[in-house]
Amino acid sequence: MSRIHDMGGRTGLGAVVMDADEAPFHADWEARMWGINEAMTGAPGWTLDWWRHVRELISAEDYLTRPYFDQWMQVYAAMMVDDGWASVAEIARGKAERGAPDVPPPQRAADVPAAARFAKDFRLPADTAPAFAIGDKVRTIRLGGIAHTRLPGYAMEKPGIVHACRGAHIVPDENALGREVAEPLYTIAFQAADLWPEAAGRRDRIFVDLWERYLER
Amino acid sequence: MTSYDPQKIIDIHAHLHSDLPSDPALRVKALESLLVEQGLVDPAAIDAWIDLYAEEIGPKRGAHVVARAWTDPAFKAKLLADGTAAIREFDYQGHATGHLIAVENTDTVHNVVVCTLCSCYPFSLLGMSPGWYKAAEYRARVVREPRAVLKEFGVALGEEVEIRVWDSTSELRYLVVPQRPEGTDGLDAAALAALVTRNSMIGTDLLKARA
Repeated sequence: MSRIHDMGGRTGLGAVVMDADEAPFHADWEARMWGINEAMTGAPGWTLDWWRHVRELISAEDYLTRPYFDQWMQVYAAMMVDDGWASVAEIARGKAERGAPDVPPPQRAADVPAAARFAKDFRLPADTAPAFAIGDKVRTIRLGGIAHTRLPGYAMEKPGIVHACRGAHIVPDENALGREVAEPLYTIAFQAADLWPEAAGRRDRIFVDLWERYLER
Repeated sequence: MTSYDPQKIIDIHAHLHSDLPSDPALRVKALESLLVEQGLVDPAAIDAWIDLYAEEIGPKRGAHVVARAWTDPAFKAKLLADGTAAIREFDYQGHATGHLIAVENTDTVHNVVVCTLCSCYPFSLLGMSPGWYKAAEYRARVVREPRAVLKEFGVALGEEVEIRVWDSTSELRYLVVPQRPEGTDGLDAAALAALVTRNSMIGTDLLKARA
């Protein structure tokens, strides 16, 4: 069975609860946590997918019940402990007992407008040409264990069609281990009826962006 | 050094679960205090980010892009061909819009966007994501029973309409270009932009002309 963050297709959940307003944050601490995420200096090893993986490793109980930005707090706390930047006790008290990490000074308010306009490009040159072309029939593989991947459980071992070739993008499974390698990325179209037993006869489609290593002929 | 060891992280999470205060406001305050003391964050930079996303970066940006697409066929073609290049004309590029894909609603196709694995969203174009977008109910259900979920948003679609659900599993981000409402022929781009809702650009709203 897939892990808790892998939500797609889970059954037994109730109606979507709409927001009462369109305010970006609903408490000061949410805004502060989001701002910390934007402004703080991280360790060199903290890749985007390592961040995601650390969130995915939060216990199912906390994942389902702790508020969203509170989980972000727990991600940063866990990454700091892992890197030896703080102990759990220091984080609980909000007071350091060790020297500061040897890193450059943090981002200043004056740096923020330029940082907010930076759009990261996740493409890299790849060693090999794409193995698939638009219209090709493919079948996804099965992955298990607790390693980070962006192949959702509901799309494992399913037939699909290559809808688009997106170039070579950084592979999340590797990036979560601190390795930046690129591989062809495709948007794969799945028929609803191929994913869900109750969807026979439905013409709706689900599009999932998948790396070449998740695909077979 | 970063361990990249999931078992170690699971153990750390267990310690954090038992040793941190339960109130998220206290937890975040403690974290910020520690980061400031260690020179890892400048509180003024946190303030600047919050101000930017409260005042300048939000769904109004996406609405301007959509209204321009409705009124300028050449721009619409560019938006559908290369979303990232198109929004650069507005200087709207930024967080999570380095690979923007615009998908267009028509009489026979309705698009809706989700991130089943976390909460990926085109932040520099739509601002902060709504709570429901990050919640288990939406993430679990919209890929499996999109018609039922859309109905909860008040979106009723005929059987002749194909629903396309886009799961944001990579660094590509999706923008839904909603259909221009009937009865808006005389409106300019600014007036049209005022009709475009955030949810319509995620795919969970259909637009109407203002009564």
